[in-house]
Amino acid sequence: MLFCVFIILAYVVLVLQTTLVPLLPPWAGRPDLPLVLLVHAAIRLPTATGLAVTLLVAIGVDILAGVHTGPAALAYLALFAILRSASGPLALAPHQPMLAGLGTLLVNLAIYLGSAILTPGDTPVWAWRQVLLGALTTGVCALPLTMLFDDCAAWIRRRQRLKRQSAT
Amino acid sequence: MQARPDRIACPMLSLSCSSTPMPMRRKRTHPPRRWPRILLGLFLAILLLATVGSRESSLSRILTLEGVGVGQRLFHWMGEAAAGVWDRYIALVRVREENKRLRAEIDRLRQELAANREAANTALLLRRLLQFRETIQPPPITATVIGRDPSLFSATMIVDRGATDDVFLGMPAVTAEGVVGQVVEVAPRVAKVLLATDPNSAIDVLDQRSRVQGILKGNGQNYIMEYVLKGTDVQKDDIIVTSGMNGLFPKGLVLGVVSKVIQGQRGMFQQIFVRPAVDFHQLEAVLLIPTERLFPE
Repeated sequence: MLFCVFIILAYVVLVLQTTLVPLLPPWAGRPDLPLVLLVHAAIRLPTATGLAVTLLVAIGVDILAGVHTGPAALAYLALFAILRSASGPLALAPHQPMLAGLGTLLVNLAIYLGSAILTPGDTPVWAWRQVLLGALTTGVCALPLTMLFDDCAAWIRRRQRLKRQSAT
Repeated sequence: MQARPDRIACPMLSLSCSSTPMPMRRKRTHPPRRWPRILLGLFLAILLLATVGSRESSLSRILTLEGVGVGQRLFHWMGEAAAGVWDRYIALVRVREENKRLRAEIDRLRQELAANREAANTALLLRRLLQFRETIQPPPITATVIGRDPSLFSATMIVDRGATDDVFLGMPAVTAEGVVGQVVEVAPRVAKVLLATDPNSAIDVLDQRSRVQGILKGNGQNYIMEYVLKGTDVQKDDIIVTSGMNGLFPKGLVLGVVSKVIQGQRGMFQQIFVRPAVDFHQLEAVLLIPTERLFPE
């Protein structure tokens, strides 16, 4: 159940990222909503579910972004591995906005470096303002999204607990 | 294992929030079924590894494009419907009680005016597209933009036409203002267009006035015209058009206007900056020109 709900959330987040987010004015920055879900999946969900959600988001972003597959997916997976290994002390909800902002910076840096290595002649322009603004807005968007994801997970677990109790 | 409190005060959010991914678990009477998820994870990992570095339209790419395309279509439709509701009803909520009728009348007229302006703008846009469309042979395919690139460093968009509408790889995407890009990926009902401003885009172009040739590359927001020798005649405000040399874009399509020319001290070439003729942030519809099929499907 938890798995299915988070797969649906991943799909919704991908659709929002490719339809609603690009409509924001340039001064508002470009939040990375899939990354907020990834951070949540890495530090709050069970490993198998979190990894499956991360893989789906990573593949989706990778196919929808640009023309070269690889850099985005590998950056997302690396971030998942880093967050998962440090998830003990970071598992608190208030850490998630900060982690999402920091994660945006790291993922953008990794994608930039990956593109520079894959296509040395076609390296994209690194714009500090856009990247920092993106990290900031991702952190801000992570506040309500984190609450939404937490509430979803809590609701599912409550339902599962009630089901188990009624079964016993 | 570190013991975690079930719920903690969360000062940043000013409310309490759950601190653990899992509440205290009870002893299970049967082992958890992890195998399906592990197998699915392995399958996805293999799928991911198989697509790394690939630019071909594999099944996973087509499924993802199609799958997300359905959501994008739905969201596009919902956005238009919500905009309609906003224009017609919600704007009236703030009208004061004492002059409700008059203000409602003003609002209604304003809405009608806005709707008429919107209709006029749309009609103008469509008329220009139609006029432009009639100049192209064979007739191009009109496509609506339903999604855009999720990344900061690349510039692509998703349109609502695909292989079933005879869209194929390499088709140029244009508007009445100029070149938008080219189709780089095709699914049955959607296609991905690489915008000319993407760093991976390179188009053979020439200066319309002096006929000087070069390669126009994207840098994310604008264009840079490369491989133009120093001393050749390229000036500010010159119009840059497609040369038709590579057979991909028809000759004479406008790309932009030269905004800056730098004759540096070093190197053989000039630095030429070009401002795009197309406003990529305002794109709603594009025309896909059915040129020669240069790439295998």
